[in-house]
Amino acid sequence: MTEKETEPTYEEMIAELREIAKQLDDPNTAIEDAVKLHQRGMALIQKCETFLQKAELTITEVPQSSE
Amino acid sequence: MAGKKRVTRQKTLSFGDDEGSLSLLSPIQENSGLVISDNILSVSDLTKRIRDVVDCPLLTDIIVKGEITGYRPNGSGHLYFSLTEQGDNAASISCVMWKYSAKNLPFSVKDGLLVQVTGLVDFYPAGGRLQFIVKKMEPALSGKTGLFLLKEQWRKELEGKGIIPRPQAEIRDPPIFPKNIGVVTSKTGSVLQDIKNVISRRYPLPILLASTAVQGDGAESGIVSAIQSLQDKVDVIIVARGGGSFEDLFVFNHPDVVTAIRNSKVPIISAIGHETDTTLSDFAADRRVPTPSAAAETVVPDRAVLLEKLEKDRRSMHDTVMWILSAEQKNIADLKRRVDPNRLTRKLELMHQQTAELEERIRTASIRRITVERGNCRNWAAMIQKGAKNKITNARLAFLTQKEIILGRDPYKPLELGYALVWKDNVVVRSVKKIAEDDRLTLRLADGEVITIVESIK
Repeated sequence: MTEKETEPTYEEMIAELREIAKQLDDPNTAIEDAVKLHQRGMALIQKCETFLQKAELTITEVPQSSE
Repeated sequence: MAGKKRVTRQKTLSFGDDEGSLSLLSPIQENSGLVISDNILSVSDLTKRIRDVVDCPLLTDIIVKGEITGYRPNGSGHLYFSLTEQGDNAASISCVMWKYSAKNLPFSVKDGLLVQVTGLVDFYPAGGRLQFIVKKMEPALSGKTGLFLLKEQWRKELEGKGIIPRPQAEIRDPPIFPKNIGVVTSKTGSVLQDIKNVISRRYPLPILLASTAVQGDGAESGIVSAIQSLQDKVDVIIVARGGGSFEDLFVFNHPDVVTAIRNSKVPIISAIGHETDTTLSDFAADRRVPTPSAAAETVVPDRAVLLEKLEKDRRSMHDTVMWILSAEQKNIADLKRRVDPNRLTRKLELMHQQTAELEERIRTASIRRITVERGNCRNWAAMIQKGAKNKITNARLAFLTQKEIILGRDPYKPLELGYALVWKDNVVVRSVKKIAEDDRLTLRLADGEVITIVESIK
């Protein structure tokens, strides 16, 4: 939903998915919208999964100013 | 400052070979006997000299460690006791801690307590003794009891400043999905490995390590700068140290460390020692967990659970849309059936039939009604006719009766018997008093009238 150029964070994607699920459950949502929401939801789920699968642990040591 | 009294004989005083250290005293003569000399001091002079001697940097602002003995509680609020060293170099010195210095002492003084005191040596002329004036007292840093007391002292100080405990309203939840994690711990040791293992299993993400010594002298400054170096770089910080003795973990009670944790802009999870260990840092942190592994579990969600949930979401979303679509299809089929032309024809036929039936019902009902009304009319006509006839007969009878009556009352009828009606000026005359002579009268008889003139009245 965000118009930002930057990739949404996992948290933002989850928040959007939650909103999509809510709208899909709403009987007042137009069917055209429901189909679009479904497509968007599937894409987001795919993104989240990719994010989780690609997540990598790295350890960087932070130099300390006063030592 | 030399004594003013003169004596003939001088008392010999010996302070050993070190004459330099005795420069304030007068020269001494052997076997001088009772000689009054200028060099003889009064006691107060002597005590004054002693006070001057002890007032030197060597004996001022010094820290002495020892055990408290001979503590005498005193109603005045001043503390009197001795500081003693046991063993081969047994030694003792009287001490006093004035009320104003002792008022904020965070622990109670008692015999046997190992303390380190800061203050100065002074000579008390009236009592004739050297004593140590204590300005500040802390539990001696060696020994668990001392450390425990120091911890209590720090706790009171930090509580007094409002640094601990962290108020409930200022406890921050770590983000559910952090982008990275800061870890303050030793570079070596199992703690970092434990955290790494848990995070790589649950939700791998970048770890920023600010390594520091976590015990020993000066460790507090390392921990403080480690915490500061992670500010603005991470979403959450774990301050961790593996299990150890009370002394090993002691640095996490240090006010500098506790204050740095309390002032952190980033939420801090404290994972120091084992579950049973509590350091003052725990009270300043946003959350306290029993082990470093638990800290890692606290700061990241479990990837497996998230993936499972995503799959569930996918299925649920799919099912929802499928359900919506099938409901819509059903809806369309229903609509289609409803707009079917045959269905319309059938409906029209049904409507025709209904109309015809209604028409028939109306017709039959109308005829029945008309028949009934006609019968009624006929009855009414008969009744009216009969009634009218009777009415006419009755009326005729009544008329005849009335006629008889009217005829019987005819004012002219008696005239037939020979009576006459007398009129004067069209008025019936009933008395002679109404008549005068020569009046013109009309006499009515049964069959005609006579006009006459009155001749006389009798």
